[in-house]
Amino acid sequence: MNMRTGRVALAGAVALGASVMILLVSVDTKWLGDNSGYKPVQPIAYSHALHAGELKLDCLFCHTGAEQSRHAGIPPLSTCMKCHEVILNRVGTKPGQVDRSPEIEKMNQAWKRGQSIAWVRIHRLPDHVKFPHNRHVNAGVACQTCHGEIQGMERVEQARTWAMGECLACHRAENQKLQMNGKASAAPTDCTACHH
Amino acid sequence: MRVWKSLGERRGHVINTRAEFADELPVGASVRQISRRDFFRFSGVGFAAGLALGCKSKVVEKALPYLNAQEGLTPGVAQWYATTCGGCSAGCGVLARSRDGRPVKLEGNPDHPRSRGGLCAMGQAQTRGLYDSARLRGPSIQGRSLAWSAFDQDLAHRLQRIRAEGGAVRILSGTVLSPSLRAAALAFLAGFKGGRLDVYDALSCAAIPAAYERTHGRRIFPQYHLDRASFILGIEADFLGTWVDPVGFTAAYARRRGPDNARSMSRHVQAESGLSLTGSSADERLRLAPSEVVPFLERLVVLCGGSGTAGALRVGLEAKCEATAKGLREHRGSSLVLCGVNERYPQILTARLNHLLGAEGGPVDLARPSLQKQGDDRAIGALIQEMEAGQVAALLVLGANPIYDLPPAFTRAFAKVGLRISLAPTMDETATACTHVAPDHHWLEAWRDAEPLAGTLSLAQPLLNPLFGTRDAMESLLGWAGQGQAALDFIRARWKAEVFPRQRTTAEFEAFWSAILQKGAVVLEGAEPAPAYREDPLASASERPRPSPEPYELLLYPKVSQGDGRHAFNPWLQELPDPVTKVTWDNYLSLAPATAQRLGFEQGDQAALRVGDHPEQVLPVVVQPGQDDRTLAVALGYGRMQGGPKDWVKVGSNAFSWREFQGGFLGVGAQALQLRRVAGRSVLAVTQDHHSLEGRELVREMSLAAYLRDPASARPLEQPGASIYPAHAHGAHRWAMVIDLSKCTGCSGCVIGCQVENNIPVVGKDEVLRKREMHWLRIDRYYEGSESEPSVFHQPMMCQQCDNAPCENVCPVLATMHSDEGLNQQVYNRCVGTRYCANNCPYKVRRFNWWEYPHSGDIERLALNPDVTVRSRGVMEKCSFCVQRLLEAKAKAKDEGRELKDGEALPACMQSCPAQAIVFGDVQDPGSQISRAMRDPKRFTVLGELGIAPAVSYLTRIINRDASQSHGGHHGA
Repeated sequence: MNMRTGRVALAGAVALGASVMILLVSVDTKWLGDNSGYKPVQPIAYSHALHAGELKLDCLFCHTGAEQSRHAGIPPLSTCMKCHEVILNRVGTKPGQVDRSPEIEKMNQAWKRGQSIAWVRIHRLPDHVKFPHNRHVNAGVACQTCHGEIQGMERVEQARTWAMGECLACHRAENQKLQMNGKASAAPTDCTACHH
Repeated sequence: MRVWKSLGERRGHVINTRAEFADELPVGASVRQISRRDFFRFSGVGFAAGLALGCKSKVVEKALPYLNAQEGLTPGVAQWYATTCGGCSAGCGVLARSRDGRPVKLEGNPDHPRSRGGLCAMGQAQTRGLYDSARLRGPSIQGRSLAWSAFDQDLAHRLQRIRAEGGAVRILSGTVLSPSLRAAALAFLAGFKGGRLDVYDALSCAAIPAAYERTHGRRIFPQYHLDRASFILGIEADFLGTWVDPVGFTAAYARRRGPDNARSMSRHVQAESGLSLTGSSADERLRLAPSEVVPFLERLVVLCGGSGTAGALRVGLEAKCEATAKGLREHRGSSLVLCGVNERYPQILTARLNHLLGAEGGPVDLARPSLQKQGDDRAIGALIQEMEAGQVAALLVLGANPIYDLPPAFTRAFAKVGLRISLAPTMDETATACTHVAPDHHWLEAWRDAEPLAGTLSLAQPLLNPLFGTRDAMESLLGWAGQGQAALDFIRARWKAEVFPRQRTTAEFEAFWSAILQKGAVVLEGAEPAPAYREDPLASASERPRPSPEPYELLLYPKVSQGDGRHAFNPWLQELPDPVTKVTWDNYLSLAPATAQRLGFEQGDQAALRVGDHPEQVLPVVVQPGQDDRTLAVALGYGRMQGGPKDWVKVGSNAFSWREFQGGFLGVGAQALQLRRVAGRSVLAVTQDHHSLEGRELVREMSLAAYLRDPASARPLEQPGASIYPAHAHGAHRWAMVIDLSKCTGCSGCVIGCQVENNIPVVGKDEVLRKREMHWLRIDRYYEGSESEPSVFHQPMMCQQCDNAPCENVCPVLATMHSDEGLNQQVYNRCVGTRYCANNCPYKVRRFNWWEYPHSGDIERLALNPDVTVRSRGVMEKCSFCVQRLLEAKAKAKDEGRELKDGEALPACMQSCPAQAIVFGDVQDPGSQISRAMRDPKRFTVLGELGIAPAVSYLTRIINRDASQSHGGHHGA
């Protein structure tokens, strides 16, 4: 056995062992990189079900970047404080009563300290993928298409796998729809549209 | 036309550089054998690792939003600010692109009246100087760090004592482009009896104002308008590369290069000893030794009708001198002579010549002089004498590094000054020798103004909060003067009082101020009356230097990438190949081929050079075609050791240390030269021999006369044969690029622009030696003709985005694909690193990540462009036509519900080209600039005959030959 094949065999041995084990683990759960269902506990138990569902706040009211930027953005604390300067009670507290919400209190404390909230990041694409929110939102794609029924989530979870196939399925269907109406494709399927 | 890239290639030598693929894969792995038993053992390791990997919990990542919404700032959306480049003393206008509160890219400001959207390599590389972990964190006294308040207290105490004792205080500074900073410095000095501001430039041009003092009675540095000149004679002045204002000069020069401009093509003759970037762009080059400049100028003066006597020139030069004088005379009123020699007598002759040729009021503007070189060498000579005599109590150094770049006499005298204060942002050679160090902001962190040309004013605004505990020099000076106020308030007050009243366009100061902040610059009406010519030639003649009897003469010149050495620790600039020699990471001793042969030197030999009484320095030898036979040339700006990263290995040798004050002016003069050979060889990281293109015809030229006679006589484009592949269908756009070789000067601004925009790593000298430099865009330099007097061609070369791309059909994993906009896409996450594509690329423009290149340090990483993926080891990469910029422009148009406009989507290389040599756009739009360029009869493609249909094409270089010489015809064959 010469030195070169020796090294290849060594690398192969490690790779084989690792891949068998990863496969075994994955069969039971999910493929690596699939974070769907990720639902971490957040420092403040903020409820999208309450704000976006019940109170029907527009998504763009807080995620102001979605129309202009590739990032939808997490609102700065100052946005929260627009309302929570005065809204301090738990939901459902009757007028005149005082029933302070401990979650809102956490936020008020942070605001007083001048500290930002360190949210746990849920939605993350790999570094080699560039997803522009603005193009999708301005083209009329609903937030729920990728983020699921966010207005019903008490605690946010990643609703879909966000594998490349999901992106492409949607882009292709969109182009087909446009072409049937006699229009040019508008959803790019070029590699560099996202990978650059 | 037979072109060649190096002497070795011309002489048919085998070039022994290390092969790119010489190392076995995997690079860096240890060599060992493996038995069956070991195989299972390692599989077990794999099992365990896989288990750990498969079961590991997710890495928790935090996302921190802003506490307060920032006005006008949306995370992920770039903001642009107009400001003024502080990279050198030219004062070009820049637009700084800021992403999420940090500047990541600098581009030329198209609204700036002088630089017109161009920016040089050094300017583009400035962000790396901002994000530099070697910058000082705060003030220090005798090497001890302390708080600013304690520092100020200590300094105030010492200054008070000096004031009481009536001691002399001096500020030694580089050119102060900012009138407000100058005012602050003068305010500080006003507190002391006889306080004085002494200005010098490391790359000194002090002889020019000194000459005008004699010829016109006023110390003045004329503004040169190259766009008004139809005949330009450059003498030892590298005005397109390094002299005074290269971007401004290139922008004006290029407007008259090529036959298709509004005004007729200029003719450019360059007389020089070394082969400079400017000489390589000239229509004709005359080789002369540095000591021949004076007789050459004297002869020209006589031939152009001036008084005086002139001896005969050597055979060969005389005829060329006469032809040049004839050209200058024929273009009377629009001919221009530029001289870069820092000696007064040749500058007097140049001023006289320009006067004789009627250039004043035309190409030579004395009414609106340049303020880009304010240095006065004679004042520095006097200062050193004062210091030596112990007459200077305190010396404050601002924007200069005199220990490094002034003659050694300065260092000796400096030690005799009691209070030495440095305002340098890093612990450079001078700061190390100072008692007090009060670090200034980087210019991207500070408010400044600039007046590079009399009446042309611009503002510089901070792009971010200071990264470190530094303080604006202007605020420091004002504070020490007892007038403590913010730099912004000081500048605004001065503009309100002094600039605003001089303009008539805006009635309100606030509106005026915001307009300038937005636009960057203002040109004020009205000018001082130009001084009249009143020279006494007889008096001038007394300054004539005695001719040099030396057999060899030394030329010290700055390089495009390094200038005066102030950016020596910027790795982008160190790895930028010299536009002519293509050497990276070094300076060297250049010899003409004939001289090298006579002295027995070959490229890469080591030579020890002793200049006068200075210590001997050992330099590698570079054999430079086109150099004068008597000239030894060494680049300035190398050999810096202080102020960089701790692990910095010295790059090159410091040639500044050879200079002396010669007749009052900084120069090497006629010091005796001793050259000897030293055993051993140096390895020079030269990129010119990499990627040989096998002698195919790659560049084309033709003479202006032939082109004007019949534009269609340019060789037609090759028509490739039929392809076995079906043609690509194109979508909404089809991108293409045309580069005009008549305009491209080889300045290499695009190379750095590309590097910054696309997060291209620096690989270091050792890897360059292995041909592993990563530049997506390189500039190929070709010679044509003899070794002693070659023509030079520069050809920017990047991925040609072929329609029938040879790289695409060899990729086994479809990592390189054709987009429906005609781009050859490289998909990093698919690439497995077979390198088949690089092997099959006829242009050798694909780059492989041999290593996980460190974008070193948390601070240095801030310079990365967040819109471009940072590639990892084992991945191929190449020019993408800046697809991220195309996408951004398209998205903007779509968001605004309109079509993309021509010229809206531009790659980084095109945006900052000072010569505007690059045209890019959508060829499906018949009215676009690119469609017009595609119809140009001068257009040709490189290797188009292979049938690969490149989307990048070039315009034949037009050379404006002397009509009286019967060159005629074109060299197409």
